[in-house]
Amino acid sequence: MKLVIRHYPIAVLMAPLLILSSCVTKEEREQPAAPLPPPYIDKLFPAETTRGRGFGIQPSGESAIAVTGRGFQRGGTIRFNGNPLPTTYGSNIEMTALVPSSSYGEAGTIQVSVTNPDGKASNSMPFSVRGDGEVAPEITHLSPASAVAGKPMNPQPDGSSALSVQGSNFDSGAVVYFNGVPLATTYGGPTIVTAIVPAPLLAKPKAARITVANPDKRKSAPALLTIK
Amino acid sequence: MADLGSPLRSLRPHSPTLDQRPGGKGAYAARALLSLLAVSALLLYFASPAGGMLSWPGVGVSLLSFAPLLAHALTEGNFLLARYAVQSFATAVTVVSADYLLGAGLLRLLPRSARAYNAPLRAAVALSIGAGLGGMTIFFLGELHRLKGPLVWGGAIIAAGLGALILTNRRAWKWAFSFLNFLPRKYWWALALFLPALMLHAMDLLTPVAAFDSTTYHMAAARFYKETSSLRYDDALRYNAQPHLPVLIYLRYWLLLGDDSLAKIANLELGLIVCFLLIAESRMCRVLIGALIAFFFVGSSPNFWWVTKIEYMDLALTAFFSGGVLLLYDNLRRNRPARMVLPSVLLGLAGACKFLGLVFVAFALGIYLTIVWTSNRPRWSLLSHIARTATLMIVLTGAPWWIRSWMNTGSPVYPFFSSLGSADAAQTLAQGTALGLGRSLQVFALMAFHLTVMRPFQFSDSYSLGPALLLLELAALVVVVRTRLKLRLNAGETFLAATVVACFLFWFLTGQVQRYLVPLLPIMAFLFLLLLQALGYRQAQPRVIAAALIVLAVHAAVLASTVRSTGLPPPVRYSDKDAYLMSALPYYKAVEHLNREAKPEQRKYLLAAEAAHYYVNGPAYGDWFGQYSFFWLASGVTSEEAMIRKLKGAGFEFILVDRVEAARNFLVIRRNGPLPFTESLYSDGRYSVLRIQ
Repeated sequence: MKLVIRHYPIAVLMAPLLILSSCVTKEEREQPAAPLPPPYIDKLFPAETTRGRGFGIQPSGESAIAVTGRGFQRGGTIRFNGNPLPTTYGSNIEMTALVPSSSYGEAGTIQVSVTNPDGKASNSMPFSVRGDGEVAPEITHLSPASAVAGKPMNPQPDGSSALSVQGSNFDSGAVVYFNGVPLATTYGGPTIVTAIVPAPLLAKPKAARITVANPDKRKSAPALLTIK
Repeated sequence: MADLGSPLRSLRPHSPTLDQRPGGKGAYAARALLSLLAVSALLLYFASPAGGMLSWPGVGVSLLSFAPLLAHALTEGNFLLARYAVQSFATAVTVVSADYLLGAGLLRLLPRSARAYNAPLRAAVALSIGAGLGGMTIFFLGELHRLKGPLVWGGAIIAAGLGALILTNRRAWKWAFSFLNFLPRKYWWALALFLPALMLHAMDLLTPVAAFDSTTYHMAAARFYKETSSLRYDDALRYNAQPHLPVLIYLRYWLLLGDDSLAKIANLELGLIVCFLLIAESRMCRVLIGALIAFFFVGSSPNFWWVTKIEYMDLALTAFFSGGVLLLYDNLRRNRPARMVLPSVLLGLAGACKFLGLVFVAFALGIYLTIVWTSNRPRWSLLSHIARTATLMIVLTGAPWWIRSWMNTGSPVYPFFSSLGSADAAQTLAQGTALGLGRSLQVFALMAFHLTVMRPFQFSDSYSLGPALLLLELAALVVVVRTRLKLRLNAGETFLAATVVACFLFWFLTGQVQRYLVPLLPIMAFLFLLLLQALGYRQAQPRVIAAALIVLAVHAAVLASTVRSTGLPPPVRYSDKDAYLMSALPYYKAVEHLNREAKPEQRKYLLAAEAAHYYVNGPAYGDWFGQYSFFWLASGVTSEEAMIRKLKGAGFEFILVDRVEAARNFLVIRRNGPLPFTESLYSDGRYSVLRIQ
């Protein structure tokens, strides 16, 4: 710091040199606009849906899609197969748009892109609209999430144990599997199924893999049920 | 100047105050509790709608995604943006140096007793004086109708020369730059973590004028002054009669750097003053890594970062008001209550920023006088000396504005006490009370929580204040519990706390706009440090608290970034600037059409489009205030035809209308369809440009 204090006048005198050496002229500023890189899409949220099933539901009941990436500019538009959607600019890395239900009324693949106000278009990202049952089930929650070995869990009036599986994309006829063993399953809807767990399966402490399989054989990723 | 004070008695002489409390039993538990609360506040903020405006992964993605964009922008066109940035910041550093030299030189002329503050505080005062005098130079050049770039440059060179002349001897030079010895060098690692956000901030300072109040009246006034080379009064500009020293500071930089986008580089100088104040605070209390804590406490506020990137009055008010309050605190701390010249100069500059500044200054001085009176055996000579000196200095700095207002409106505090401004006064008061969450006791008790978690638009703000006030309250709570309600404050601490409480109460009861609290942030940071000191953080480092604050500050700096929110690098070429404004401002295309169609001298009315004022050429009216306000327009009008005829009768030839806002605020205006007696020159579905026939 003593060096800086001593040489401060030299440092201040260098400032004009820096200014002069970097000088941007009026002619340079009058040049035509510089091209900016085009926008780029990294991800769609969501990236798929089932025919007729809404997503990202807004208070108005409309569906909404979010696009993340880079190079988005205010005034840019999200397009579904080239058709512009009512778009809300979030930042240079994310935008959202309302999606009319007609866009996902039929199964197929929609190309999603972004166009900036300068006319530059992004890459296309596929958005899948699957037919009924084409989407794999997903487990989000097990109830109960654990059990005690040798004791019934969530005991029913007849003494049996019941396991409630919550998630999404469950089709009618879906079956719950306990370490690969199919269980008697009751379908409650696309987001919930219930299965009866025989007592021998709960006899010993272990971590059991619970999966759900739809009739089209699509299986969920396993969820763990801890038997203590 | 002779010291007229007698030794101060502490309020309770035998009770230890914040800076005297020892550590020891219970201190460790209290520090652990505060760390836990700080982390909880951090998590609460990020889980809330306010913090959720930008997720933490979004911070990293923002910074990473900008890297290629900025790299491309900096290097294309023969490193055009890079050279523009170097040129702009190097020139700004020269201007800051000139201001500092002048301020330090003038300080050196004062008696030793009047300038005996710690080195960083002296640096803050010197820079404040330089910046303030720079702004006042613009005022007087404007009043003399001599407001031109070469004269402003001449003034800056003369100022630097004058300062250098006073500081010619080696001892004075060393004294002037001794603050460099107190820069927190050991915190380079923290600054390195913060470097990407600081680089983003540097780019933000090069972006065009786009903030709402800037385009509506701050920079619109600056442009008017520049074009007329004078400080002519224009009632079409909102609050033009009120003090607005920061507008002149921005105008000064505009004239010196030759570009309106670069006017906001003045925030570098004002931000530097705040940084010096925070370092000075850490010198005044014994908390390890105190400067780091203070810097990131203030930096944890997205609203603070936002005001450093725009041309509003709040950053200047923060610098001058906090500086004045800290000087008064130092007086009380050192038992020199009569040392009023420098504090009054800074408080006078604060009062010249905006009316809110005058109110805050009045609170601070009133509390100061009360504390001196109650702490001392009452000596009227001391109290009258304090009052006289403060009044003289504040009048010297504020009087030019009040005289200007009186000459143009008949009232020194227009719109109050003026027959011309009764509608504006009513509107000002009504607008203030309409903003915020209400004035109930429950809202007051939970306000720190609301300021942390609520979306800022509920306070009519773009960004939230952040968890700073909540952290301060939590720290106070822990200290109060630790001391078992036997907490005693010395005179200086009482002064700081009472000033913050009084200003906060005023804010709560009037206009609850979050950026009006930004001027209190440095003082709150100091109170936070004092509370940490009371918890024994002079032996232990507040690492967890520092980490939480750094995380908050990085998030806040990136969230409030202009470049991030627009997705565009700062433009250098004029055509790039047009494209930038087209993207950033929804009305810009309409304004371009208006400027093409209308001659500059033709009168234009901005119907519910007052934000476009800055970019419209020539005289433009239309705002909630002033002679041709929206109230004037709507008064006695029951149809679109009558409204247009009224405008024609007042001499207006063109209208720029925001159809969405006009339909909302003027029930006679339809959302769609042509307006009678007008020819449509442009329409984009929202903004229309019309010629009155």
